[in-house]
Amino acid sequence: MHKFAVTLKNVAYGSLSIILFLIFWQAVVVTGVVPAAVIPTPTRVAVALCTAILSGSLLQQTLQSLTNISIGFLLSTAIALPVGFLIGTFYKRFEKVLMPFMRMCEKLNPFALFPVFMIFFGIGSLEKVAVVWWVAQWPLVFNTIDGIRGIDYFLIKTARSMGASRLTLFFKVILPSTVPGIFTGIKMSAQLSFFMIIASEMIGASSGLGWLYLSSSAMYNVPLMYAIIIFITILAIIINVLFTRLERHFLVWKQSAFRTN
Amino acid sequence: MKNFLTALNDQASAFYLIILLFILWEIAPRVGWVNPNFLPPFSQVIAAAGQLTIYQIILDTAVSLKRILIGFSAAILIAVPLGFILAGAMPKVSRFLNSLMMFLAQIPPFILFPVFVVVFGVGEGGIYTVILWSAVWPILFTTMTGVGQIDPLLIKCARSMGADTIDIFLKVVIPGAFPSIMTGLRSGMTMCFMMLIGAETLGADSGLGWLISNAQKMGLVPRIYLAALLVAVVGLAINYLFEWLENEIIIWKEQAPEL
Repeated sequence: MHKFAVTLKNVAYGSLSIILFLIFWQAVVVTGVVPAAVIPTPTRVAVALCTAILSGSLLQQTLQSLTNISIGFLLSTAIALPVGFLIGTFYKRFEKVLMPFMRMCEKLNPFALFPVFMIFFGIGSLEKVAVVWWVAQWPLVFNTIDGIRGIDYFLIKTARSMGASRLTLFFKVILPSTVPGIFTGIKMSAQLSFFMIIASEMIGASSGLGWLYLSSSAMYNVPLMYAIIIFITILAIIINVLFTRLERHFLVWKQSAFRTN
Repeated sequence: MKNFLTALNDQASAFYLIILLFILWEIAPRVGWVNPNFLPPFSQVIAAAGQLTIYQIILDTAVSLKRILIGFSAAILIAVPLGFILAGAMPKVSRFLNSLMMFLAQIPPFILFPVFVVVFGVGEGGIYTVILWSAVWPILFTTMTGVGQIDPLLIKCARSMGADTIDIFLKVVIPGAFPSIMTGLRSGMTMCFMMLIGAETLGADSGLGWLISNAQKMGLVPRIYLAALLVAVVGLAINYLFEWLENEIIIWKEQAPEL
């Protein structure tokens, strides 16, 4: 009960600055310091947000975006994790050759590659999935390899000297040691994928949150624009919090995770 | 002799795959593995540079670099002092503002671009603001973290040896926070370079991002690849520059003891 009260107090204290900011925003627009056509009042933005939610269009587009992200993200985990494992454990020789190439791919500006993806995949769901896959792939592979690199060989030797079979070795020693590193990669990739899909939908699409945003800006529906911005930000925060919670759940045995969180 | 060749091989092995890929890029469309309309051969992409004129390429690259330079420098000038003040002199204020800053920092900068265009005008205003916004947050947060993780013992030592506040700031706080700030600078630069290209794609009439989107609209496929390649090269160059700077300047950083 006491912990709940403390959490409530922290939440209240934290939201104080946001609430003050909202009041400041409202005051600035109402008094006319900033023209209402350029920056609408928070109340109008809230009204626009509710209208969009109630009409169903917002949720429909969100579902579309989230579907595309999920498919792309799952695809990239399905490829990146095994590849990372293989490179990290058995094919270390390939690591030296593959790493610079993969590092280059990671640093490549995804925005510059959008037209290339659009050439190959059009502007439909397939292209979105491809973009998300590309963007999520590289951090995942690197973090998997890093996670494997951090395995303590003494643990493996100890397990083997106690008679562990290869399967036991994999599931009880190697996998738990690498999960922290992998999860860092997963968290980073998730945020990056969300960011990229919104951008990709703004540049070339006919559905999804980014497209809704762009079309509302084309219609000069400024309150709806702001409403979507806030909605997307809240989604991003939710994804962040979700993955941090997941990370904490999985990384119970890793001390450094507590320290960074 | 053998040692020399082995060392050379070690160094060059990083590039084998890349060279192989370029060779593949040249061969695959010609042989017909890939539709040459979708993926023109590498030589054709380079030839498009001649058609585009080197002058135009240099102009666009220069415009993009100018935007990033000005935007990024402005971000440093705003974020670093602000970070020092907030973390050092006003910790209570910074804790109060923390949730608001976290919320604002989470807004994808790309989303804000149309808003910035509406507020600051089409063209340069919106682009500079996006670059500024996307670079300020990482730099601000890492500066605050950097100041926060300075060993208070060092400050006490300096004070007990009679250093005044300015000395402590210049000789303890700045070097102590610098590695963290450098990390922030690097990630800020990555963010704002990404945003630059994105913003130029959406609403500009010069620069590398505009080059890509213009080529796409005109359907000049080789030029699209050329521009993408240019962006990649510039991005890599900036990245290596920052890594080099980090290694050169931070000579006092102790290696963290292995945990």
